[in-house]
Amino acid sequence: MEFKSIIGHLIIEKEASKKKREEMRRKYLEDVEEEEEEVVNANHLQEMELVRKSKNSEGKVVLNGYVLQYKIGQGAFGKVYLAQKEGDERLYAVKRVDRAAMSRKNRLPVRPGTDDNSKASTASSTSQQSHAGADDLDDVLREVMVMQKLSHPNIVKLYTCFQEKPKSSESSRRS
Amino acid sequence: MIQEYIPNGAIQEEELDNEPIDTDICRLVFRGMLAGLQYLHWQGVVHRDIKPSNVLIDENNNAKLADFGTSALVPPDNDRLSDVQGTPAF
Repeated sequence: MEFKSIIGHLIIEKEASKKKREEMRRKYLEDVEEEEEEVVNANHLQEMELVRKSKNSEGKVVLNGYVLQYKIGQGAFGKVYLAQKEGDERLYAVKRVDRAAMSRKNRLPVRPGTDDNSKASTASSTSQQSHAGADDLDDVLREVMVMQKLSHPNIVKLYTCFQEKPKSSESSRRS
Repeated sequence: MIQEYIPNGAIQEEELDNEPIDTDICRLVFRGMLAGLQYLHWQGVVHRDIKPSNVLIDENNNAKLADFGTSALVPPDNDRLSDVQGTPAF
């Protein structure tokens, strides 16, 4: 009997801690929401705003007012640049992704060492992988969509995004 | 994508090989990573490619998770995703 009552007690305690966790979580999410500063402008995207691309007096590439300074990173599908906004001291990271290459690569069945692009372009693109929650979006759109949802001190913020060419073109890129 | 710029950049694997990192800094970085991950999971997002090069460290040793190129939204009624993502060896 004593045993039974202990179990009963444990169950109650478990329930209580579960409730407490839920409570904490809710509170936490509210706090985080309050912290939100700059809201990402991009609306529910199928397509993004096209970029205004130009060069400034120093010959640097300017995308929608962001002056690309130099490359700070290189990923499988694109490059990351340091950028400064015109008339603004703040620095930004601009991630430029080749959408076409990215969607080609992600159709591949996963196997070790598929990191180089040569394999990606020779392999057939017939194997479809389902991406839960966003099946018909390409991966870049998915990345943007996910990041827009997020606002947290330990997650890199996405301020805005735009693309250089319409999606239909093979070499479409976005930054 | 115009993103937040974090001057110190990612955790460098070479650095990890050399001298040991101060425990307090480690703790802070880890706490940041976990807080970020916890938040992600509460939002129904799985990152699927957590590795040193995707964890940026700011000037106060706060971890910032980056690169959501392999992430996915988990539908509330589904607890497993059908596809595989990530970096081999991680």
